[in-house]
Amino acid sequence: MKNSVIKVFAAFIGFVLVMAISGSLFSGLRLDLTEQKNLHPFRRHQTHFEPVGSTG
Amino acid sequence: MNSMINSVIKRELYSYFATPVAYVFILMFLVLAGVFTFYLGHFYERGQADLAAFFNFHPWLYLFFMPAIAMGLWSPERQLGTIELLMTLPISQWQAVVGKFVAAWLFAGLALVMTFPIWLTVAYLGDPDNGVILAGYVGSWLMAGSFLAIGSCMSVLTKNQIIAFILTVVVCFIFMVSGVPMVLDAFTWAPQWLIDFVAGLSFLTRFEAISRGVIDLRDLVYFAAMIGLWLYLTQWALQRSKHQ
Repeated sequence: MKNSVIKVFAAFIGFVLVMAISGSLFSGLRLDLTEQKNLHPFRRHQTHFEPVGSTG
Repeated sequence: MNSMINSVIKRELYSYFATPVAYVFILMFLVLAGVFTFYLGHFYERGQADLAAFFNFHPWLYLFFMPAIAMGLWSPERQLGTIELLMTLPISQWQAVVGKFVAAWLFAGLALVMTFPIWLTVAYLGDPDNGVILAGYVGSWLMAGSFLAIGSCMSVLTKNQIIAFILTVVVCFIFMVSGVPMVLDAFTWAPQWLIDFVAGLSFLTRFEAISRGVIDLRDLVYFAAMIGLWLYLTQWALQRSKHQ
């Protein structure tokens, strides 16, 4: 019982350490998948809906 | 070793599709993803050629869908006693845990892939940044894996699937909101490193970072560590239940 609790505690400590080490070691290591495009508005003719209940 | 895990994966995937549950699950997921995207997310009204309206709701969708998948990983096996049979097979506990988890993760991935018509819609209507969309899908799948790993652990703790579902929802919710300002405000007494750590545990923060199109290695490590930790705890709980 005691041994098994120690194992769980060690797992949590390991998790915290991994998070802490990765936070400092891997800072700035990233893969930028963006295509740097400007966002284009939709072609509204097919997507525009009149608000329900609007009678003008 | 890999062939053993493959066998477990195949068995699990077959069991998903042997009943209508998998089809109903995927259908419900797709319907709700569509409703959230087009109505609650104001997909058309936003007029932006991206899938932000789609991905923004994923954590909340997963909060109920992933526990629904995960609750069936171990609880029924324990309830029906088939876990004894599983453990007599020439596979280790760890292989069984990983195999079941991977099968559930692949199933979640299939449900995610089936949402491609939403991407087709945005690609037809505009000229979206496909890199950002790809990153969103990757982040979403990683987040689904974390939810499932937590669910796997909760499932092995109880024979009752409903209890496993509720426990998973609660734990996942805690991890989701840990980065929300309202929660962090409760830690004003704590040192800054602790506040940063708690904020860093949030699924929402990590997923939002990835879904912007930039996959940071720290976020990948976070999801991998979460999955690893919870699968380890699953194996630990399985070991304990065997001794009881």
